[in-house]
Amino acid sequence: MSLHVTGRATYAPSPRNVTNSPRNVTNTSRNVTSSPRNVTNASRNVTSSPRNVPAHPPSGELSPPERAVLRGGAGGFTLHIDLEVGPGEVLALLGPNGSGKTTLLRTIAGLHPLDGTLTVDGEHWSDRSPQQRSVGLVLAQPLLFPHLSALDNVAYGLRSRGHQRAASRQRAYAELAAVGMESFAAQRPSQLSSGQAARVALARALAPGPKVLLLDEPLATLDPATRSDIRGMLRDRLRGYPGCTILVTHDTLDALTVTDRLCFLEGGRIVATGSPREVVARPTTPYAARMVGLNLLAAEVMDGRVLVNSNEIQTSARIGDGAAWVGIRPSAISLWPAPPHGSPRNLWQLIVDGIELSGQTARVALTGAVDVVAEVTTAAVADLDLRPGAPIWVTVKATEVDVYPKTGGA
Amino acid sequence: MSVRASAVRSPLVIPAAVAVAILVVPLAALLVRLDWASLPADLRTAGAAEALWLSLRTTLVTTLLCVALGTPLAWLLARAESRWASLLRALVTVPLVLPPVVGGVALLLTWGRLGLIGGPLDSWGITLPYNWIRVVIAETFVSLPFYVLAVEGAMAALDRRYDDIAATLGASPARTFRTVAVPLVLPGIASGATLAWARALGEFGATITFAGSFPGMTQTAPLAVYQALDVDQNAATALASVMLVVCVAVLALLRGRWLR
Repeated sequence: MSLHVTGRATYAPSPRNVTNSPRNVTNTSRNVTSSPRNVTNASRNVTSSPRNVPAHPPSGELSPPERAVLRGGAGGFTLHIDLEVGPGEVLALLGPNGSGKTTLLRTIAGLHPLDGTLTVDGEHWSDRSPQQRSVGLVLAQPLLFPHLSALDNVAYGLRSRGHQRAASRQRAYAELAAVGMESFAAQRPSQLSSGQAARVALARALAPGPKVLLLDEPLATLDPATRSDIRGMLRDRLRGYPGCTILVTHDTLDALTVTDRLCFLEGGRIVATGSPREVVARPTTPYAARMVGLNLLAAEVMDGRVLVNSNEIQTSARIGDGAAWVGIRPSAISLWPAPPHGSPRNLWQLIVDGIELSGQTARVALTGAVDVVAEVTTAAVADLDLRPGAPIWVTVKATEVDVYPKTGGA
Repeated sequence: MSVRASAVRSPLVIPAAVAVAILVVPLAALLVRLDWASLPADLRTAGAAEALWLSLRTTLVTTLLCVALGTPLAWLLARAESRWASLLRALVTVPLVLPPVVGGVALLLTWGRLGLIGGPLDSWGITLPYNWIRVVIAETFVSLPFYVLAVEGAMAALDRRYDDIAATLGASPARTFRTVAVPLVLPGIASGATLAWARALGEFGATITFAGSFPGMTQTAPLAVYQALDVDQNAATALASVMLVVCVAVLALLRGRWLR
């Protein structure tokens, strides 16, 4: 079983189809760097913009690339997609709000028109209604049918596909058992906790044996303890699922622990893909870098010299000339009250832009010749008298600076 | 004693009290004038039994018609996205604001011998008799908009993602309507049906214009009250009081369950 979708889908929010799923509210600590935050803010307008948008932005012939970029306040955009998911594969779909993740899921589910082709398991799905496709859909809210018991919720898909009541219930019961909910079969959704409801919602989506499972931020509304519990359940349950899974998430941990491959979407286009390991080591978009907490600097390599904002960066890595990324782990950055002496390294005087504490660790946003985030001990913040606006000497060993070409990688 | 300023002690009380008086005094007047001793005789004079029985039958049939026809219409209106849907919604609302007498005239022009539907029917040898069927037609004409608007409101408020989930689970639009939409808006359907029933029970103008006021045939309770007023005011008072009691009883019965 495999999925291949290619083509375009045009998205124009109207007050009626805007989904109000609360966006990821945890992990604000990731947004230590201040400049990229604008991206999220601009794109957030998309989901909440008013109605003064044409119902369908111009489409027709293949759009020029600029049409694909996010049109901030106006709210509509065109999704350009060429994506393949293998059998049993769990693909994470990541990207800022309004980048087209949900639209892509809805397009695959058949809830949104696609101008292109969608092939699943060798079958052409493009012209099929949602009912004729074989997808399971789980959203941030469980959206269990409140008037049906957990068991009847799970049996709903089988009953809709014409299975007998007894057989459907039997299958639904097994499906509930697979998510550890068999003892809650008779309960109404209002009697379930949010975590239990999330389990039932997954069981309901999987009960008819869909070829494609679409998960749209399934953990986003759960509290942290429940979230890690459900994350584990999800990982276990997906391990035995033979179909294609696409998981939309804002949560790094979801992406790294539940999925096999990461796919980054921005402005309706896929900007990067890679395995969790690749993305953690060498992210190739600012969004991905921020997600895994790595400093990512756009660089130009000329005659073997690595230039960031025309400042040369010392590195032990060797690559050919051209556009490149410089990756620096925040913990590899050292802060000094005065210029230190010693082995060859990068030395800058930067300005403290902001500080966030998390237990014994502090993330210090620095700005100047380069914009980076340093990770130091909380004690160092006091020792160095760090505060916004204060100058500080910053060093990074040449061996700690990774440089890789902009093309390829993750 | 509460330190917080209470709305009950503000000048707002004066217009509120006037509003209550406007609503309650006439009802009280009705009951005060009621002559308990002659009540059975007065009701007989007014032809109360016949009229109430006719009202009961016709309003129940009307309510059933509203539910059977109005619920699918409400669902289509709640889920339609085209401009035609707004136009249709406006059209459905027209009888709501139309003077009932005008509605009665319109019904005559529809179902009469030369009417849009009555004409072709007449050439088939079918004439709409002056009986309870005409009453139901008149009552449905005025009640259906109330029902459709109430239920459409409830259905439009229903999260569309339920539809999406049901569709991905293989449910056809008809099955989604039957197994998701209707069960989830049952309270809305109940209050819409009550509204429609109450409107049908009070129907006067369209009924007298379209169906006439023939005792036992088309003379519903309100028509009987009106006619009794010409003959014997006590009879009118008696029947009117009975209607008041019936309405209050029905409201009280439903209130606990569905209405707020």
